[in-house]
Amino acid sequence: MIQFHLERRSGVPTYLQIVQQVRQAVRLGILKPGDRLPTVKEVVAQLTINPNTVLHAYRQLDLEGVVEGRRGVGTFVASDRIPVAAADVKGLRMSLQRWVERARAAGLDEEDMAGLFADTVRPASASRVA
Amino acid sequence: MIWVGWRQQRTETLIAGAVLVVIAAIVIPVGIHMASVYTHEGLAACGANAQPGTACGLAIPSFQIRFNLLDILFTWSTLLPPIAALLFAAPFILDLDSGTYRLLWTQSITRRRWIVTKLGLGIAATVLVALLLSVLATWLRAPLDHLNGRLGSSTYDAEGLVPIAYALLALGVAVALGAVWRRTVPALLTAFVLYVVARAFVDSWLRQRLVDATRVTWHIGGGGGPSNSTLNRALVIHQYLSDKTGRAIAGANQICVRTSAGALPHTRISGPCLLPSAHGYMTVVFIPASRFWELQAIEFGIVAGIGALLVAAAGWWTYRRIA
Amino acid sequence: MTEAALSTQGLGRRYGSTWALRDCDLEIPPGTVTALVGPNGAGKTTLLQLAVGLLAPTAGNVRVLGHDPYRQPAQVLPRVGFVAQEHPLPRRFTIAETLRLGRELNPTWDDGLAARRIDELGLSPAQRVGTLSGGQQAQVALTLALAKRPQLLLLDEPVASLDPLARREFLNTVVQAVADAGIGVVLSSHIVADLERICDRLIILAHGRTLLDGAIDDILAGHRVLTGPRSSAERVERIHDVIRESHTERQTTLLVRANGHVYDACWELHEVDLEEIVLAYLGLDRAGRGTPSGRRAVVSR
Repeated sequence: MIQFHLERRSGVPTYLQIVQQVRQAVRLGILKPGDRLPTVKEVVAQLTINPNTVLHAYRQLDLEGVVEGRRGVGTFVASDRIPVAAADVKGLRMSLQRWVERARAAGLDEEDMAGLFADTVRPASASRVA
Repeated sequence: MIWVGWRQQRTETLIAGAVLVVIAAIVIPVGIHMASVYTHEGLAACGANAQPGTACGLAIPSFQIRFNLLDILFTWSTLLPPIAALLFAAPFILDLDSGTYRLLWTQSITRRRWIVTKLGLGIAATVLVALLLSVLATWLRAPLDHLNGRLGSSTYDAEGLVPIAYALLALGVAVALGAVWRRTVPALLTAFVLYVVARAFVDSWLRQRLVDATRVTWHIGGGGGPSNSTLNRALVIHQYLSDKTGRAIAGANQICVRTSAGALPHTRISGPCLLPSAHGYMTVVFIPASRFWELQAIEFGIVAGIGALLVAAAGWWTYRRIA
Repeated sequence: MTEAALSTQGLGRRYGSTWALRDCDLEIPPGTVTALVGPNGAGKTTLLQLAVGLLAPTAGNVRVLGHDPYRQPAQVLPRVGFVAQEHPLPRRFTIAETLRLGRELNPTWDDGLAARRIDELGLSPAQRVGTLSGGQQAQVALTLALAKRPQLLLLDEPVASLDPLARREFLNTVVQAVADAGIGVVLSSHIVADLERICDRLIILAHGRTLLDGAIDDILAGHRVLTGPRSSAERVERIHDVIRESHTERQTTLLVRANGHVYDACWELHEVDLEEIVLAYLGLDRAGRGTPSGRRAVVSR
C-alpha cells in the first residue's frame, strides 16, 4: 500500500503531488496493476487534507488512464496500462548520464543542474493565467 | 434541559441541603428542649401576663434570659435565605460569565428555554430553602413568640412569608446584575450589599408605614392604655409623653420618680422629667400582634413582587442583549 | 439547485457606533471547507455568531441551510454544529455528563458516535472536563458538535490556543468528518498555514469587510507576482487589480489579481502562495511592515 507524503513549500498543488506520487509508484513498480489505492478516507486521515483534493487527484489519474475507479469498491491501478519498457528506461538513463557529464564539464554543480532541469520540465504554467 | 440545569446547580443544592441538615440537627433538639421547659414551668398558662411578684412574673423573664442566645442567633439567621438565593443565582450568572452559554445556546434548544429553565430552577430552589428555614424558625421560636410576639425585627424577618420574599429579592438583584455585568463574584457581592440596604430600609422605615398603626393616648396612672403584654408583642413605633390630644411634650422623656423617702428629686438626672400630675399622658403608636399576617402579606407582595420583576428583567435582558 | 450552506446579503452588525461587520455578501456552497481569515477584530467571530443565531443582524440578513438562524433556531440549530472560541465546556462536568448534555439538548444526537469518538481519543468518560488538556477539551467540544450529525460545522478559531500536535489532530478529526459525512465546514483562523491543505475556499475579512471570497484553486490561479524594472503600475492597473505594489530604486514588484492574460513583456511572472496573497490583502508584506492596504474590495467567484 502506497503512503503519500506532502511537500508544503514545493509550490506544487497538493492534488498534483498525489498524482505525481501515484505515477511514480506505478513507474517504479511499487504499485502494480490491480493494486488498490488507499481510500479517500485513509488518505485524509493520514495527511490531514481536504477530501476533495484526493478526489481531484484520483479523478485526474482516472482521466489519464493510470487508475480506474470501481464504484463502491475502490480505486485500482489500471491493468491495461502499458508499463514503460525497461529498455526505454535504460536508454534514457544512459543519455541522462552523458548529459550530466557534459553539464559538469560546463561548470554546473548539482544545484545548477537541478534548476535547469526543473525549469525545462515544468510546464509553462507561469505564463498561463486562468 | 431540566437535567442539565439541575446538574449545573447540583453542587449548590447539595451545599444548601447540607447546611440545612446541620441547622436542623442543632435546632431541633434545642427546640424540643425549649418547648418542654416552656410546658413544665407552666409558662403556657401564664399567657404572657408577667405581673411582678407572681410566679409567672418570675418565670417569664427567667425563661427569656435562659434562651436569650437564640435571639442573637436569629438576627444572623435571617441572612440565610438571601445567601441561599445568591448560591442559586450563581449557576445562571456563571454560564454568562464563563462563556458556556455559547455552548448551551447552540445545541438544539432555544435561548428562551435555557433562560426559563435556569431561572425557574433558581427560583424553585430559593423558595424551597427559604420556606424550610421559615418553617424551622417558626416552629423553634413558638414559645418565645407567645411571650414576645412576632413583630420584632429579627423574628418577623425569619418567620412566615417574609424570608421567602427577601430571598426572591436577593435572587432577583443578583441575576439582574449578573445578566448585565456577566461577572459572578461582583454581582453576588453587590447583590448582598443591596439586600442589606433594602432590608435596613424596610425594617426601619417602610414596614411601619405599610398599615395604619394604632394610636392610643391614656392618662398615666389612670390604669388605661394597652396592657404590657399587648405592647410586648406589638411593633411599637413611637412611645412618648404627651398631652391629652396625643401631641408630644417637647423635651420630656420620663416621669420623675419619687425617692424612697417620697420626695421628688431636686436635680435632673438625664434630661427633664415630667412631674406626675393629673395632666400627664402617654401616647403609644403601635401595630398590634394580630396584624402579623396582614403585614407579612403586604410586605411579601411588595418585596417578592420586586424580586420577581428583577428576575424577569434579567431574563429579558439576557434574551435580547447578549451575544 | 442545492441551497447554499451559508449565504448572507448585505449582512452587518453594529455595536454602538462601530460596525463589526458590514456589507457582507457571501454564498458558501454546501459540502465545502471554507477558511475565514483575517486579523483579530476583523469580524470573523461576529460573522460566525450571526450564522449560528447567537447574534441578530443590525443590517441585511443571513441564511443557514435556507433558514434564518436567529428567528428559526429550531430549523437551524439541529443541523449546525458550532464550536465557539476557546471551546467553552462545563468544567465541573465529567465527559459522560457532557455527552449527556448533548443527548438531552439535541434530538438528532448519535450517542454511539459520541462514545466511539471519546474512546478513539483515549479519554475516559469519568474524567472531569476541567482536568483535560487544551487539545483534549477542543476535541470534546468538537465531539459535541459532530455527534448531532450536523450538515454544517462552524468553528471559531478552533486551534488558536493549541500546540502543533493538538492542532494537527483536531484538523484531522475535522477532515475525516468531512470525508465520512460530506459535511460543510467554515472555520476561522488568524493563522494561514494549514488552511491551504484542508480548505476549498477562502474568505478574507478585515475591519468588518470582505476583501476576498473564492475557491482556493481559483485564487491561486488568478494571482501573480509581477517583477520588472522600476516603473509605474499604471498600465497594469488599467486591466488588472493591483493588490500590492512596492518599489526599490531599480525594481518594481506588484501582486495582481489578473483579469485575463498578462501580456506586457517587461514583466516577469511568478506564482504566489496563499499566505502571501492573504498578507497582501491584509496590507502587510512578509516582514510585517505596513503598506497601503485594501486598495479596493475584490471579490472573485
